[in-house]
Amino acid sequence: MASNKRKFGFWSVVGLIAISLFWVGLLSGNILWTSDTPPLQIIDDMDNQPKVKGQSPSSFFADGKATRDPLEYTVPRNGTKYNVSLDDANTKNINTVPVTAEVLARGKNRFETMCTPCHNHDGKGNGLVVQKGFANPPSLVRPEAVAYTDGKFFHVMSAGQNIMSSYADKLSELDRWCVVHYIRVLQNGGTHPKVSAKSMNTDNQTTAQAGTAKAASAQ
Amino acid sequence: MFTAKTNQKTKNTILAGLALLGVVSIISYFGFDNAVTDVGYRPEQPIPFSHKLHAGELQIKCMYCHTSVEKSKHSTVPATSTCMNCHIAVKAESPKIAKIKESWETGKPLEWRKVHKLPDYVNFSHARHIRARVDCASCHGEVEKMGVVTQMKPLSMGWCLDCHRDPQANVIPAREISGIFTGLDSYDETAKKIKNEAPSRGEGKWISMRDCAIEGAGVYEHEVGKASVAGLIMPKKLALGPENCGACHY
Repeated sequence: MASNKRKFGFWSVVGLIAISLFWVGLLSGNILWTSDTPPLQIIDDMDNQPKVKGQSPSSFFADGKATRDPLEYTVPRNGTKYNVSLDDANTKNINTVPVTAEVLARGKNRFETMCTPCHNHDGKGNGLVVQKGFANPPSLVRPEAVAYTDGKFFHVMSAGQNIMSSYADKLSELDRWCVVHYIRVLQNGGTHPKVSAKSMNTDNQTTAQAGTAKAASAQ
Repeated sequence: MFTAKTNQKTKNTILAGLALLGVVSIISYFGFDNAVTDVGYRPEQPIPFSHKLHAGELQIKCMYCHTSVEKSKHSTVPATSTCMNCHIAVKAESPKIAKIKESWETGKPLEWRKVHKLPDYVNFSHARHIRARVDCASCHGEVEKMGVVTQMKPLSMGWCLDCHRDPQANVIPAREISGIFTGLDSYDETAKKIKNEAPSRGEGKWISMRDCAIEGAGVYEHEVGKASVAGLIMPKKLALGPENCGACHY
C-alpha cells in the first residue's frame, strides 16, 4: 500500500519534536504565550451573571458607574466624617486609644505602608518617592514635631497639609491613632514615651514594652 | 466477502478515526484547562501603569493603593485621587499622567480591565485570605516584577483546594512588600509559622465530601486573634482552609 511505503522525512521529525515540546511546555504549566483577548469560555456555567459587582461598569446609570458615589454628608457606618479645623485640632482630637503591643504593631504596619514612600522608615523624610521628585516632607522626629499634640498629627493625616493629601480614606480613625502612637515611638527612639509612665497599669506596660521592642528590632 | 482493498480501507478509516478521537480528547482534556486558557491573560490597560516601577523599584506596598483588601471581599482598584497623591508633583506633566489628571478633574472613572476574574458563583473574600496572612503573590504571582499585570495562576477550584488542603506547601506567607498586617509577628516569623506550624491534613490525601459532611471535617471555625482594642484589625490564627461547598460557593 502507498501509506506503508512512505518514510519519515526530515520535516516530519522536526514537526514531531516541535509538537512534543509544545505539549511538554503546556502540561508543565509554563506560560507559552500571553494574550490580550479574554480567556476562552466554551460553556458559560453561570460564570458571568447579570448582577452588579464592585467597581463594574453599568449601562443603567448615566455616568456608567455601578458603584454609586455616596451622597454629600454621608458618614461611614463605624466612624465620623472628619470635620475639625486646624485651630481646633489640638483640643478636639483626643487620643483615647491605649498603647498596647497590638496598637503599636498596627501603627508600625500602617506607617510602613502609607507613610514610608515619602516620610521614610525613620520618619526623617527623603523616602523613595521623594527621590523621584515629590516635595520632601519635614522630619517627623524634629523637636517641633515632638512638641505637636497627638491631635495635630491626627488632623494632618485626616485633612492633609500642604501637598500631602488626606489619608482619611485609607486609614480608619483607629488606624490613624495607631500611627500617631507609632510616630511617638519613632520620636522617642524605639519605645513609646507613655509606656514608662506610672499612669499605665503594669499589664499594659509589659505588653507595650514587648511591642516596642519587637517593632524596634524588626526595623 | 470483501476484497482485500476494501478491508484495508476500512481498517485505515477506523485507525484514522481513533487517532483523531485521541487528539481531540487530549486537546479538550488538557487544552481547556484553566492553566492553558486563563493563564497568560494580559490585557492592555488604559494607562501603561507599571507595578514593576511602583511596587518593585519604589517599594510602595500593595496595600497603599489596594486599601480595601483587608476589610472587604474586593481588592479595589484605587480611586484616581490615590494616583494624584504623588502625581500631583511627580511627573505631573507627563503625557501618560494626562488621562489620570483628566479623570481626576472630571470625575469620570478610568476603565481598567479586570485581569483576575473568578466565576460569579464564587464567594471569594480577599479580607479572609489577607487576615490569614496569605500573600498577594500566592494568587497573583509576583506583581511587583510585572510591567503589565498578567494572570499567572489558573484560579480554578482544584487550584484553590491545593492551598486549602496543604497550606504549608502552597501558600506564600505575607511578605513585606504587600503590607499585610501580621500582628505581633515580624514577616520572617510569620513565614516560619506558616511553613512549619500551619496544620496539614492528610498530606495530600483526598478527603471525600461525605467525610466532611459527617465529621464536619471541612468546616473550620477560625479563631481570630483577640485584639486589646475594639475594632483593631487582627490576623486570624493559623488553620486549614475550609472545604465545605458553602464556604466558597454562593
